[in-house]
Amino acid sequence: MHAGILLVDDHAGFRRVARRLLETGGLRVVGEAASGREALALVAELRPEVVILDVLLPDMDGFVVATELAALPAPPTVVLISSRTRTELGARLDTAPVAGFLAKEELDGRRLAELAGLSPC
Amino acid sequence: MLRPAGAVPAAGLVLVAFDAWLAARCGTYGFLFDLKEICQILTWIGAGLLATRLGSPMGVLMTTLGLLLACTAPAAFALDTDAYPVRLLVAAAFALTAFQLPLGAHVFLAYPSGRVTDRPGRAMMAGGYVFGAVTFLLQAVFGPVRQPDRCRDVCAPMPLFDVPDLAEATARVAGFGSVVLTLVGILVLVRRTVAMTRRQRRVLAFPAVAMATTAVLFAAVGLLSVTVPDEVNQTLVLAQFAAVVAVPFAFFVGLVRARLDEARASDLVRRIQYLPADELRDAVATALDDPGLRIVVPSPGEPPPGEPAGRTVVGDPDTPLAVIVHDPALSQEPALLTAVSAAVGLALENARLQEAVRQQLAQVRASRARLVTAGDDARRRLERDLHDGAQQRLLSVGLILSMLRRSLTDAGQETVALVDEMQTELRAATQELRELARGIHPAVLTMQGVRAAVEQLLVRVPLRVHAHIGDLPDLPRAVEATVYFVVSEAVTNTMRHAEAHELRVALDVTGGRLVVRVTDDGIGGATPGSGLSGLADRVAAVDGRLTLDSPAGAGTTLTVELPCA
Repeated sequence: MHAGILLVDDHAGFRRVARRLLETGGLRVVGEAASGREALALVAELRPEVVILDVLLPDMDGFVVATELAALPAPPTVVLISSRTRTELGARLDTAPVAGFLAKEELDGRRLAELAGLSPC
Repeated sequence: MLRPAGAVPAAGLVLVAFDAWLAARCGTYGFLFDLKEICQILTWIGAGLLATRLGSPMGVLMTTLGLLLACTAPAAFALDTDAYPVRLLVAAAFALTAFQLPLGAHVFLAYPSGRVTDRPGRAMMAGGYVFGAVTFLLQAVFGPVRQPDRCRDVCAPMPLFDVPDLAEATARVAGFGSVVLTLVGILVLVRRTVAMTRRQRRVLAFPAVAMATTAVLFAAVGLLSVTVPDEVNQTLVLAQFAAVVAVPFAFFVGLVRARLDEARASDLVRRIQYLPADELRDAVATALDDPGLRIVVPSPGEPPPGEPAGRTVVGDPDTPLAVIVHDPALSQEPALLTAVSAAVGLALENARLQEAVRQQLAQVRASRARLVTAGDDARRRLERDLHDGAQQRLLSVGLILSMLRRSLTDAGQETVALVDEMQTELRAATQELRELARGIHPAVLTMQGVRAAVEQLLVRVPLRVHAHIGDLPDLPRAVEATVYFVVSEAVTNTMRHAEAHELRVALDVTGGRLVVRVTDDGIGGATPGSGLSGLADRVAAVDGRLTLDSPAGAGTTLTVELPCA
């Protein structure tokens, strides 16, 4: 059993749906954060294996959060998600220290597990 | 037929030539004296004609004096002849000498305006001409005094009544009258000079000095001729000659100087309205020849600066634009002051209006730029709201539908088909919403800047596209948005109207300006229609410039120049 997923997105509605989607796919969600700061705090507290991170957050840029997470002693695997398309986000996606990117409408357990190297239970 | 302008010099030349001929043939005073007389006549006529050309009313008076001298000259050469016509001519010329002094005085008193306006001057003029007329009659009737042994100006007098005592009396009357007339004339001139401004004195200086010199020389020659009757000093005659010629010349020079002063004032009026405020004072000081002149903008409630005679109000006396503080002597020239103050008023009013217009223009520009920025901000917020609100919810609905679809393992064919249909429709709706949001304001512009935004715009153009985007500096948001909308609008127009196969887009910085050029190989003939005029307004709002070159059949080039900062 993996150490779990932290879900970071500022829309409560989306978090609810996404949590159910992931759990239906056999993945374990250990926590939810609505902002960049909250995410950093929860990572320190919960030590999740994977962070699903929205690019556009109210307080911090998702890319900045990802960079800070990557600098941790035992960094979690980060998968970026966004309702923006890959073209809209541009070249920063290619250089970000993350395992991958998923458009929000493409989100499902199997694809996430593939990107993050997780095995659903 | 001669025009009057040509007739006067022609008549003068004929008279002078005739005088010269008479003097050369019968004159007994010698070549030098004759030459002096002829030169004097020619100088007065010439100076008068030149003054007329300058537009001075003095010209007529000076020319008339020259012509009178030409007419009286035969009575001055001591013509030694018995020819009856010549004697008759000399008698007439002698009678006319009565008018030399009154007309000469007229010239002096009328200088430099050509008119005698003061009361003493007019009285003296009237007296002078009456005296002239009386003397003319007496001289015509009784003739000159006969000299028993030699010629004195006239050798063979031909009076109507040959009464030597009355001729003597006439000469005394003429001599006494001349002295009185000269003294009164000098008094009038002195009285005037006292009241004159520096400028007026300067104008009068030349002729006054020349006149004084001439008077002294004449007195000297007269004295010599009385004491040593036959030994008139040649040097003195030469000096007299020079002075006599100098008088009309000095008049002419004085007139030119007066003219230059007036010209300087009118030059100021012409120039003044374009002068910057800080150069105005110097220009006015030069024009009025008053180095200490000041232009003061009065504060309300404060007493006006300077003494009353030394200030001239510019504009409405109750609410003056400014006060010119000047040499009180200038108040003698109210016409000049009025002209200069009007010019200063023009200049100050002009400067005030220019400043007001400049400020208003700056305000309008700033507010237009603010409108554009505010519009861009509103669009950006609207896009963000659409994206964060409706789009997010549709997204969640999509995810729920996916889950629902997966959970429908036991459902019937019909239900599955309906859910699939729902997913397809939802995807289309999401896509349309995304396009709508991008039309309002492209998120990529906010997130990645103008280069990426333009590149992504061009990716969707179904033509051969050649894009060149040079190194761009950090641009203001309003400029970035303008670039994007320019390219977007140009692409839309090309797709709609141009029937083009190829599109070239270039963004470059040249000479500190960002130049956007969109060229197609279509049918051309585009006009700055409503789409482009809106674009032109937007470009102008950020201080840019839009030009459209679209000859029929030769493609269309839209060029926009924008400031980089």
